[in-house]
Amino acid sequence: MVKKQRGQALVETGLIMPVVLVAILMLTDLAFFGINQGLGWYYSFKAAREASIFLQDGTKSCYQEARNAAFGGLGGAPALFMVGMPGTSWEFTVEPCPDDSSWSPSSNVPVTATLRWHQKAVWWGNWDGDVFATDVSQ
Amino acid sequence: MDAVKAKTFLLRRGGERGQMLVLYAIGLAAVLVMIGVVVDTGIMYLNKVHADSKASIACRAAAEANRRGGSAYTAFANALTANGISADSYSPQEGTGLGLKKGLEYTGNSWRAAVSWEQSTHFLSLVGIHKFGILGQSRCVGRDNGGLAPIAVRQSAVEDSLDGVPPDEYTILGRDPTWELADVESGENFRGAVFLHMWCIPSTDPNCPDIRFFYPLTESPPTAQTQKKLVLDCFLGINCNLWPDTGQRLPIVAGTSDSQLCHAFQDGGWNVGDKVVVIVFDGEVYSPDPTYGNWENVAVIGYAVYEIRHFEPNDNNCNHVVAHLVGGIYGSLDEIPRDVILLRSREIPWDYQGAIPW
Repeated sequence: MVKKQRGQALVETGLIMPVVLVAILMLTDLAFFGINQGLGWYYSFKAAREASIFLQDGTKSCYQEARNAAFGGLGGAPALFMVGMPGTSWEFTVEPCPDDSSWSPSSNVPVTATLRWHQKAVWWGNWDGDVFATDVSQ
Repeated sequence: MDAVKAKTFLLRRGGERGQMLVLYAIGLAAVLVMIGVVVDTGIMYLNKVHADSKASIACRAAAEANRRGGSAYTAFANALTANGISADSYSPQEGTGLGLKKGLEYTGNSWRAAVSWEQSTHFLSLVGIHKFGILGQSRCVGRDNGGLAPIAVRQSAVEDSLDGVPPDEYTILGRDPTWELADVESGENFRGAVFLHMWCIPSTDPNCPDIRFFYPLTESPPTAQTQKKLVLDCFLGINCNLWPDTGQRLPIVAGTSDSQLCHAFQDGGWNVGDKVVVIVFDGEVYSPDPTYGNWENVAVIGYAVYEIRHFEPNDNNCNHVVAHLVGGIYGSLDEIPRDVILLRSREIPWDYQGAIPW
């Protein structure tokens, strides 16, 4: 009888651990996407705000300033989970805010920063993000 | 071991069958609750970032609209709608002052904007927590006047003021029979105003062979009416997000009367006691070779801050603006002290109690 119970804990652990692991792993991609969503909100807000107060001095473009404001210190690219590797992509637009050092903004116009990305799935799913922020130029 | 003890031992062992499964089930539930707390708290935090940033945008939009004479609330609502925030998140108003939870409020010298909504939980609903509140708040002030005014003051006047050489105050805009706006005879058409919307290309060529036009200027040459409108807009801080760097050459405003310039300045909201940021030029108003056109221009060598003392001959019949030097000569925008320049409508801390920090 005692012999029959040997390894019982191992079997029970073997039964339950896959359930635990699947539950945790299923959350990994969701967590990465959620964090990216929050980062995207922050990046787009920073960029829209910068574009809304952009001052043209003849040496810089609105787009570069907005991008620097959003991704400053990040090498000019957004820091997003599971983005930046093969099979992933991101796109960042700010309108109206061209990459042109002879452009100056007009006042009281909505300026929208949009960040779209496709992140690599760790375990499952197809994760495409799209966030934006619209500020008003001064 | 005797027979009784052996039987008892074996019975006990038999009762422990599945014990690990029970322990794991309890452990799993605990893990799931912890994951639920982490996930739902994370979602709550993300929504808080979302709400705060959108409240910030709406607050500043309201402050800007108000200073332009528009409806602050309409701008507030439009900004939130444009950012995907539903009307029930900001209307009807809830709370007031520091306790504002929804809506827009003007508190005498600043605006407070707040949005809030209830966010459904995901995992925490398993333990009876179905919703939590999201609150985004922002407080901001509107810009009173423009940033860089389209006024150019000669370098020698600024330097004399810095050295304490009288007069203590003098004309910076509009003709004043007792005061020369430029050092040399070439400045006879100069009334102190320059175009921020027209830059010489290349910037170092005093002949201004090419003029770069910035929005909304498209006419060449602009009519007197357009000139007046552009100068007024710059005094208002509208469509004038331009900051000509040192070394740039700017055409002077001609064909507009002293009275028009002075009234445009007043219409822009400038009052006695306000501080205004101006361009400093070397004193010469350069007349280009006629083959290059007639864009008389000045060279930007820096910036200075003046305090407006009075309008001459009086407020109602303004022909020139008299001011007193506060600071200069600054080589760039970044050097200008933040306490003397009001460039932007901007956020201030939600619970700030003192005077508005300009």
